[in-house]
Amino acid sequence: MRINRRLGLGLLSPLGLVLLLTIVIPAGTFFVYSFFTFEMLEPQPGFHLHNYTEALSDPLYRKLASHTLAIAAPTTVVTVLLGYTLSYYLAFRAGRGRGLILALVVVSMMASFLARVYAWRTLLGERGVINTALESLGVIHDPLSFLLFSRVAVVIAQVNLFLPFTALVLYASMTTIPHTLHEGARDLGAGGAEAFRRITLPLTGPALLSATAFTFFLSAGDYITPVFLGGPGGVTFGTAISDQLRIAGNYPLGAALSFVMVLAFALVYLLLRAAFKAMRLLPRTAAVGT
Amino acid sequence: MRTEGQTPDQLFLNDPFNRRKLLQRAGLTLGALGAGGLLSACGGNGSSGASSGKLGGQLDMYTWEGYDLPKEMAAWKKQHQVNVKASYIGVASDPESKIKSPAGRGIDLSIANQAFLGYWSQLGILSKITEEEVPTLAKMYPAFQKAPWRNEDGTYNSVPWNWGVLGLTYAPDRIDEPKSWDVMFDPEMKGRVAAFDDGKQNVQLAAVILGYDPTQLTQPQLEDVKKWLVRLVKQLKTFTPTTGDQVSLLASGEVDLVFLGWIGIDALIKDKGGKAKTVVPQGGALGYCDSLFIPPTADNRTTALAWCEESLKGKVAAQAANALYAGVPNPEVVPLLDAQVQKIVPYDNVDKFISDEIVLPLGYPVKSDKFVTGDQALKAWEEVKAAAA
Repeated sequence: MRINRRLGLGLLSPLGLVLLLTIVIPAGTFFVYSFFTFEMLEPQPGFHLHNYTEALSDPLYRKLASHTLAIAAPTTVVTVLLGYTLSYYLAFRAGRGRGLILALVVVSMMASFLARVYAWRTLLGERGVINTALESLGVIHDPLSFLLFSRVAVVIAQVNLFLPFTALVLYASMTTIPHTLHEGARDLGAGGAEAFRRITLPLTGPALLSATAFTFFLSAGDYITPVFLGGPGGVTFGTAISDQLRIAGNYPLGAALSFVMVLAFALVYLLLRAAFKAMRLLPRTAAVGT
Repeated sequence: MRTEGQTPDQLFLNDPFNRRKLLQRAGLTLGALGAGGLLSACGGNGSSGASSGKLGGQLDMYTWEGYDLPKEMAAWKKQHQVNVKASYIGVASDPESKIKSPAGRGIDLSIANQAFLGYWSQLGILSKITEEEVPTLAKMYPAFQKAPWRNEDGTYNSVPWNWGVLGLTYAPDRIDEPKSWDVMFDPEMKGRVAAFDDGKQNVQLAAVILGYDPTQLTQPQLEDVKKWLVRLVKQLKTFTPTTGDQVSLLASGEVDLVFLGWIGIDALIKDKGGKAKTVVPQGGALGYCDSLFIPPTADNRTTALAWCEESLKGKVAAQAANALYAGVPNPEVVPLLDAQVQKIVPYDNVDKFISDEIVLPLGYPVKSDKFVTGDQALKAWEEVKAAAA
């Protein structure tokens, strides 16, 4: 059936309109703001690069970028490892329990983001569930203070928050792998590990790249969790953006910092893609699907 | 297509209302309705205030949580058919960016710390208020009948409403009363201190403790302040984004001290079964006076003025001060306060207390080559946080 071009455009136009109004125009406006100056809480129109110069050269923001990476990197690694394991189990091992586990994963995402962040305070605090349990079992004598208001707390909470998204992305990819490929590999004498390495892993490579990048962007861009759980170690690039927009009212500088972050994300994605290609986890054709 | 002499049925048959025309006309109708709705939504924050000069209707407040006095003003609201729509600020400087933005048009009443009055006057977000409009202004303690609340022409830029101390809040059931700010640096207090994440006020308080004028801070003095704050941040358990967070941390026993603690915490923590006390250690502390102000873009100025007058006197003012654990600027209200609340500030010598023991800092200069500006203070705080992380 030949799709009528006009019909196709017509069907896509509502979505296009929504994307235009909610993403393209606001982002474009924000980008224009990044070139303005800021005086007496009024952005002054013009074309100036000093916001970007400040964002890229000020040691403060380089330091905040490294703090952000110190949280986002371990979060991404742990989340992707756990997510891959969970999705592999769901796709190939869960059997009858698959539906229930999937439902639990989806339901876990329905709770309010802030409520879930706050819940970790109850769990990780000095008088929280974990410390109380360890003390009553005699494992520790004094509460473990590093569990809360530390980067460890932020990583733990972010893994919990982003794991469902990551697992679902990977699960969707794994369900497209035909069972006949694994059966064929077994017939040809491949063990489980070799079948995983030569069939499952390469075929889920694009999804793995997406999940890794997705998790990194979410973690690096999240400033709520570091504020509530990170303590002095929870100061990130995102908190600097928030301070400029919300407290200082300096929209031009806040916008410039935001787009510097977008550029950084693009660079991270390109590096990840290159790494995945080097590890032969991406197909050689142009249509990577990521 | 009209043809003279044709009957309506003939006209219909010649010009049928087909599906294409239905879709065209429906689209035009929906578009017109949507445009109308969009235009009316863009016209403001949707508040439906009373007509000019009439008391009643919707009062849009942008203030601290609790300052909207849901219980204390309930009878007055019912009597005058006032419906309060309140949204809450997180830090003291929030109103300046909100009210300047399109989203802030229509806000009738907001709250200003005295430190921001000079700057916000320059920004043009404070309208003038006269003693004729709010008669109780004439009855306040002299300390509140002058700058920064009073303009040079005798009008007021805001209505002083409550005041108190921003000092060192501690848990009296766990540690002794601190006499000096140095207690925060004791090795045993490492990880037992929290600090409110308000950069501009933190810099001011540190300046006061170090003996500097917080509103005329030089760059070398700012470097001293930063070093002191870096030492402090290394002792912290966490920064608190809200007052509620400070209350939670003290009540749960996670921290024993709060830097830039608000005296109102002493009352709020009781609801969580905890105890707290805010003191002025040796070295001084910041004071604050929150005043009600009406933006020039307010929709319901009449009701906003009436709210100011009502909340400044009598039982309403006393109940609010009791609930918020705050000082009152109207001496007539003092006998109506709870016994404990009467003690939180020395009402027998308000002027001396304000001039000698606490510092009610005025705002940073907007632009200056000589003194630290607000933006520089905020940047300094960000550098402190980054350095100590």
